[in-house]
Amino acid sequence: MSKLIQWALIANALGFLLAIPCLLDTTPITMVVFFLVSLPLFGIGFLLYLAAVVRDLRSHQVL
Amino acid sequence: MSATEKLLLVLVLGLAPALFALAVFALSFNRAERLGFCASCHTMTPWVADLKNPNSASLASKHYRNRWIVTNQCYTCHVNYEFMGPINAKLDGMRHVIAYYTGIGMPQGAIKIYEPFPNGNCLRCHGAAQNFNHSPTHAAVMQQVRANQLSCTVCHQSIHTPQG
Repeated sequence: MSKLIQWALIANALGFLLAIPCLLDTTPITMVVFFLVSLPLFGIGFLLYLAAVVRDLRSHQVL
Repeated sequence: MSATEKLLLVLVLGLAPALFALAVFALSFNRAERLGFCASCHTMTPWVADLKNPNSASLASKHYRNRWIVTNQCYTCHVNYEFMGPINAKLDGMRHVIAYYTGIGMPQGAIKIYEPFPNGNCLRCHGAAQNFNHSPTHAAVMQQVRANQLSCTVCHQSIHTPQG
């Protein structure tokens, strides 16, 4: 598994962990954590995943 | 990497976070309209106490205690009923948390609303009410009230009477 995928998984796992308080009990603090930390982590995870996919496609000379 | 592993990665890194984030997003936006959400900030304690105070003569308290507004009492009056109103109300709430903990954008002095209270927020419920429309007092100033030129709060005081 590439380093990019590993970082993507870590970012996603953190995103999930930090979103759980908001899911269980939405308060202004948990909501701020979800919107300002969790969502960006999900976004970063997805971008890292996309980068890994592009890199894989390039290594197979598809792109 | 096998095809199954690749599919699993699409699910774990693409679909699952998107669906999960969407669910939390929708749920938190809905919950952010509840009184309990506003009351969970201790800054709001005097306002919420006033709301529930059986001896309070404030308009907000009357609306709460008489169940003129059944749910989401803070939100019902303080959201602006325009396209971005509900989103702006939540963004303001989050901005208040950041301001409180970081001091950035923290207003000095007593808490007050950003802009004069728009009559549209009152008229959303009262605008079509018979007792509002048939009141001779209202009839005399109806145009100004509906055009937001004369604020409802000029006559209808006090809105909140927080103690402490």
